[in-house]
Amino acid sequence: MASRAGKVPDWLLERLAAGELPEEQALGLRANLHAQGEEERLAALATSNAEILAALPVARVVPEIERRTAAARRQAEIRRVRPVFALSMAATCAAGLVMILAVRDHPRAVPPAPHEVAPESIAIKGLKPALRMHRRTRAGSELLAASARVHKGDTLQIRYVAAGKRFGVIASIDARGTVTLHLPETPGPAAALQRDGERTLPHAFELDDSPGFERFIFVTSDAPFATAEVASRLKSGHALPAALTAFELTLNKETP
Amino acid sequence: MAVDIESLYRSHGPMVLRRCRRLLREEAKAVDAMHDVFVEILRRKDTLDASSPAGLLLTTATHVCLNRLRTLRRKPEDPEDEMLFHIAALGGAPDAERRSLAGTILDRLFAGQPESTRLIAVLHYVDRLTLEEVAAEVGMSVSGVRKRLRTLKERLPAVTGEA
Repeated sequence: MASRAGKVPDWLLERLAAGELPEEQALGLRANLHAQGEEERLAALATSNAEILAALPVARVVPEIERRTAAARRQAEIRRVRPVFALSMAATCAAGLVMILAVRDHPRAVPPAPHEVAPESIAIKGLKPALRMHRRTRAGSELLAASARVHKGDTLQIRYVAAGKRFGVIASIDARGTVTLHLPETPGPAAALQRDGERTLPHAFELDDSPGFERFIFVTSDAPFATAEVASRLKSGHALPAALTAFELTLNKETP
Repeated sequence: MAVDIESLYRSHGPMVLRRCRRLLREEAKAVDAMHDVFVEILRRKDTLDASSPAGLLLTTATHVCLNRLRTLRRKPEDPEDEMLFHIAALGGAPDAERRSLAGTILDRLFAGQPESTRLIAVLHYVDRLTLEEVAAEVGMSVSGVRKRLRTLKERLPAVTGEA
């Protein structure tokens, strides 16, 4: 490879430091660094490495990577399973059983009454925890109002305002009674919230083909609680414990 | 590819973060993207080639950041930044981004298919690698890289250089 005349790009500098470049190219780049008096750039990488690992240590980063990986796998599994579930539901419907099963197993899997789609279901003084639903568009994204019409395939991004609350769970239920956890993405303790400002969940998601509606709930508290309490509330319709505050938002799904 | 995530992060995490910082220019977003780069590696570890982990991670970081840039609402800070936004907007089929963080492009990458044109464009126009260096990085011929870049000229109005 011909030797380069200009400054060594950061990309190649990183590859050089990692020892991954062919010998001839590596020698050429080292000569280039020497000629331009920039040999210290390699040493600066080592210094930067130490600074970054001190600020973002393995013990802090790796568990978060593993958590996200597990969540991503789970979301992938949900996407894979849902179409199969839809087919089985269609077969069940043909057999005339679907309404009975839906009512028995998922008493809340019906469109909420008009008064239930108001943005806040429990009023508190001052700033309140809230969800903001954004839909990806060609131009960027748009904020969705309560009861907005959405479609299969829409990519939604959830943002939340914790309003000072310490713990939270964001979940949704569709008309089939399928509950999806968005925060945290796996069952267990409620997530520790970023308590100030509007925060974006790390992953957007795509609406599947379930008909009717998608109902979101953001449950918060100053004390730890479990995702199971929220899932139970969504499925049963039972009231939440008094210590928990809920914000609900329903989007109406238009099916072709 | 067996992945010991702790040792991989320790050896290459800072490099990934520097890459994300360079492309996203916001510390919080760069840190967030860095995590997702390793998530993509873990998710696809069974199909990865471990011979050049730095190259793989830099490539993955570039794709993750390009996808972030597509939805980032900030004004470009300089011509290089503006070029990145243009490149990020290329190949705008929404489906490419829906299925995962890096979407179809990463699928192609990890399946050993031809490298994405967006990466080639970033390496040449933003990182300032020569055509020969880009070709070596992505495993293509120089003429192949030149051909890919030529097709971009109509869609990248700010393009300058040797393509």
